Amino acid sequence: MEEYLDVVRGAGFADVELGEMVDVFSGSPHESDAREFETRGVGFSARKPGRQERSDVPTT
Amino acid sequence: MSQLPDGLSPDAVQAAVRERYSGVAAEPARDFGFPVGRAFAEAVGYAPELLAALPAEAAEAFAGVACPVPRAELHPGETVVDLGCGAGLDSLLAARAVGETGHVIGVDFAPQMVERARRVANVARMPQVEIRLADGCALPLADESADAVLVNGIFNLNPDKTALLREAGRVLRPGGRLVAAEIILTAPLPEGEGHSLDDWFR
Repeated sequence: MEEYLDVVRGAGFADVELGEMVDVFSGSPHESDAREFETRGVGFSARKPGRQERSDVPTT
Repeated sequence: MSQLPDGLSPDAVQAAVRERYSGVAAEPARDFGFPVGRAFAEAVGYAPELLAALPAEAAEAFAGVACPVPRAELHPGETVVDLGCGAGLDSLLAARAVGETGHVIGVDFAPQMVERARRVANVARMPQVEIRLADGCALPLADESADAVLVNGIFNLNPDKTALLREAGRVLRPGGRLVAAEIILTAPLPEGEGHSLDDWFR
């Protein structure tokens, strides 16, 4: 999960927060596949930094 | 970030996703390998009374992951992009939140979903909703033109998640919010899985 949130941060977003976990496939015909592959639904939110914040980021 | 197994091209995945979701728009009661519909929408957090207040066609073809709109904390007058809007359920909910002075742009790359979402917006009489046919990685929108971007279950279908995220970032104004729901694997796929287009939808 952290790896995924790092992708969101890497795309330029700040304040990346994990939200609710959702058992998307519960009760569906595909529930067994989802359990086998440990599939989850997850919510997340993030914010595009302001211009000042972006200019504060050091560049290499 | 592109995680395609050998032998699967991004174009092939995109074409398969477009075909599958056009099928959902046309015949939502069919089995597509993933949950679809109103009962599913209720199961992942959409309030029944909220769905009852919207055109049935929107929830019938719902194929998202969760209910992201409340988390977006939308305000009247805001501009919202619903990336991968499907049949338009989240676009309608966002439109209620931003009101007649706001603007909701639903974007989907499956033509039949776009047709369905446009019908739904017309039936709901929400002129602040505009539905566009476009690729999520090349949005026909100006830089920094949106206050919020909603994404409900399309990152997991897109071969290039970083490109999709960067495009969402491009259209957001500084300080704008990205609110998303996504399907993830919490463990590595077993050996031999994930190598076919059908696996992409499991």
